[in-house]
Amino acid sequence: MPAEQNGFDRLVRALGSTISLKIVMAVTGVLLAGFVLIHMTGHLQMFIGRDAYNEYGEFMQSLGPLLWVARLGLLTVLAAHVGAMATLLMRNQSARPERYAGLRQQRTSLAAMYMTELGIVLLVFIVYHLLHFTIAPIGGFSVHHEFGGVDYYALQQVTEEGSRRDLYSHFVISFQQPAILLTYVLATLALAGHLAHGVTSACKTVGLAIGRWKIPFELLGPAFAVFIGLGFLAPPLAVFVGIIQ
Amino acid sequence: MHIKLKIWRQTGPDKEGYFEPHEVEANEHMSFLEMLDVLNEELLAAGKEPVAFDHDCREGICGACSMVIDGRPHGPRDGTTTCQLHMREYHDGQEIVIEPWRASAFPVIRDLVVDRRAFDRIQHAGGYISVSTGAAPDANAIPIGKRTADEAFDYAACIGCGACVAACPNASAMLFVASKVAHLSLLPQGEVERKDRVRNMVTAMDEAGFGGCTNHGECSAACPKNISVDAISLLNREYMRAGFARD
Repeated sequence: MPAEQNGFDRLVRALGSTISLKIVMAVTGVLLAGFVLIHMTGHLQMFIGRDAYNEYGEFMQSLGPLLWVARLGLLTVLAAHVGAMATLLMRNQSARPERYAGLRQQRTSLAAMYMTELGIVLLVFIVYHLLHFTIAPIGGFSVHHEFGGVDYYALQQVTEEGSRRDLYSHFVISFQQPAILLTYVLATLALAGHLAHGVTSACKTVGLAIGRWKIPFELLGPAFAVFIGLGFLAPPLAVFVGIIQ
Repeated sequence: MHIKLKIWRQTGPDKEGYFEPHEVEANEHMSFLEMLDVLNEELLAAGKEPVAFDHDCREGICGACSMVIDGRPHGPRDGTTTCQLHMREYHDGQEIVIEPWRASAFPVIRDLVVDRRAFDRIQHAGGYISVSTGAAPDANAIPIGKRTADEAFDYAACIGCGACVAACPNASAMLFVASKVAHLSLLPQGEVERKDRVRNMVTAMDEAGFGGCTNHGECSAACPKNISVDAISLLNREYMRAGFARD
């Protein structure tokens, strides 16, 4: 074996290897998937009712500085995920500059082949979603379907304590609009596709999906994706067909 | 049978390549390479340049023969090298497209011949053990369990042909590196140098310009020795193990 530099130098060099970057993607991806799962359970409170959902919204806002810690943490995790992806994408593209006349796909899936594209759709959607519900542009986010010029962010629910933002109504009014519903349905499908491959791939990248554990982890990705997809689609679709009003 | 071919021709590494049509009479008993030999004899007789392709043992063990046939490295048969592919797989009048392994780490030398010395460089970086083992010992002199021995042998089956790189959408060499690392790390003789081996081989792999793994699984599907993608998970484990080590 060739002569070595000191251990720390070698560690730093190793952090830029393709395997290290893949591990970063896997770990950040799993953290983001975890956030997605928790976020989904938040939305499912729409089925419980206006008070429950608005209380949840109030609770989130009341976290104050903790909320910002969480937001910055998420942003850092997302930035690491995208940054690692961009580096690996460039390496992968320069690894095969000349295209084949035709290369047949034997085992891979559509989701696996389009992870980057799905990821970009999700990035764009995250911006849209934040603008829609969290940050406050004037007049909501519907261009073609005006609800009498409703300013979502002024919607208030009157309670015993006082008045609070009516997040529940914001949700309901939004998803009664076909254009918004369609956007979220497409985004959810993109998310499901991304997770179906991503979760399984992450487990292989960290060396979990091996031997007797190969099949269980092979199934975990698609199963998780279906679970998340259905969980995210349920409240908006329920609003659109009138189950939630 | 009458076979129509579209073969990649390239006169040198920095030259433009292109597909050239050819036609050849073959019989079903011929191997794919014998069919190309027949074509080359005709080209030579006509005073033209024969098609250059790598070949050696012609019995599926050396890893020399390397061509992508109709979009599949080594052709349509599972677990079969090009030299072991026979013309009975094809019918009269069929058209076959043949191109070389495509990866920036495997520059084309000529026609279907690519430079696979990147694999040699990876091997030099750690695909060996620095132990003088002498002659083959008695089978049970070193007590290694059969399951372990079988598993190591499955990974040792890698012939270093590069079909995994050719098939991978990212032109990654992970399955190759993983086979070598898995084979040697599973056995006591290889355990001594485990950490340095995996670090240095992965570094060599990256420096050669191969892509990264996104777990498509195309490599294993194309492998003529049916090496499992589990090797890649093993490599990732080895790499993390070496990464968290104190030295």
